[in-house]
Amino acid sequence: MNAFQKLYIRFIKCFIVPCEQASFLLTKKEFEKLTFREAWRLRMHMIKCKYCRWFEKEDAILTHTMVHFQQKIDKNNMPFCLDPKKIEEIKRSLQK
Amino acid sequence: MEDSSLDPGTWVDLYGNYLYNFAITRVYDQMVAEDLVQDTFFSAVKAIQSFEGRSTIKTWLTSILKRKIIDHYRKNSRSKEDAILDNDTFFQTEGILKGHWEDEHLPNDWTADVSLEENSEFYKVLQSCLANLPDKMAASFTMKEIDDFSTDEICKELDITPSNLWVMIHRAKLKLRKCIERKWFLPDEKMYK
Repeated sequence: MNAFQKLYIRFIKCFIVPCEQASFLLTKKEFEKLTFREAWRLRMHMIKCKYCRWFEKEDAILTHTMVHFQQKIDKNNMPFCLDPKKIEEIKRSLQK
Repeated sequence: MEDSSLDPGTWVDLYGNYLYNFAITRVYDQMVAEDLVQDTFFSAVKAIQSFEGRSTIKTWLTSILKRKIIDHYRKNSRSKEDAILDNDTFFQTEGILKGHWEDEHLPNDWTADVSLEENSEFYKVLQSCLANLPDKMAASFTMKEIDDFSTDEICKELDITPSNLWVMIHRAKLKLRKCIERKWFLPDEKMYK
C-alpha cells in the first residue's frame, strides 16, 4: 500500500465508518431498521469499499445456498443419506 | 381397515431420510442428527394417540423433530456459555488501517464462480464449515437464516440479548466466509493452515 492510498484512507475515514462497523451494520440491517445516520454511513462506505461489497455478495451466496438446499429437501431431493444400519437400528428399537 | 400411514413400522422407511436431512442441515453433526431422528420416532410412537389427523404424518413428525432440535440448541448453549468469546480478529486493531479488513480475511469476488447455489459439493463444504462454528453461533445463525425465527424467539431460546445475537451472527458470517474460501476457493494454498 503506497503513501497516496494511506492518505486517501485517512481522508475518507473522517466521515465514513471503517469496514468493521460497516460489515456489522450489514448484519444488523437484517434484524432492524438502521438509524438515518447508520444507513447513511453504510451507504457511503459501500460506494467506496469493494471489499465490503464483496462481503455482502458472499453472504448472500451462503444464505441463498442454505435456503436453496432446504427447499430441495422439502421437495424430497436429499443431499444426505441416513445410514441403512441406523434405519435398521431405529426399526428394532421401535419394536421393543 | 386402518390407514397404513398410521403404522409406525412404515414411518422409518417413508420419512427417516427426510427427517435425517432436516436434522443434519440444522445441527451439522451426523451422530447428533441420527439420535434426534431416533428420538423423534420414539416420542411419536409413544404419543401416537395425540395425533389427530389434522396434519399429515410427515408434518407431525417434523414438528416433533423441530422441537427436539431447539432443545438440543438450548442444552448446548447452556453448557458452553463463553462460545461468543472467540479470539479471531478479522479487522486490523491498530495503525492507520484500524478497522479495515485483515489481509487474510479480505473478502473476494466469488461471483466469478457462477451457480454455486446449485452445486451440492459446495453445499457440503458449507455444511462442514458450519459444523466448525461454535455451537451457539451455529445455532443462532441457523435459526435466523434457515428457519427465519424472529429475534425475540432466538434470544429467548438461546438466552442472549439482541445485540449479542447480532454480534454473534456477524462473527459467524466472517468465520464462514473465511472457511469457505480456504476449503473451496484456495484448497492448495500453502499460507493457510
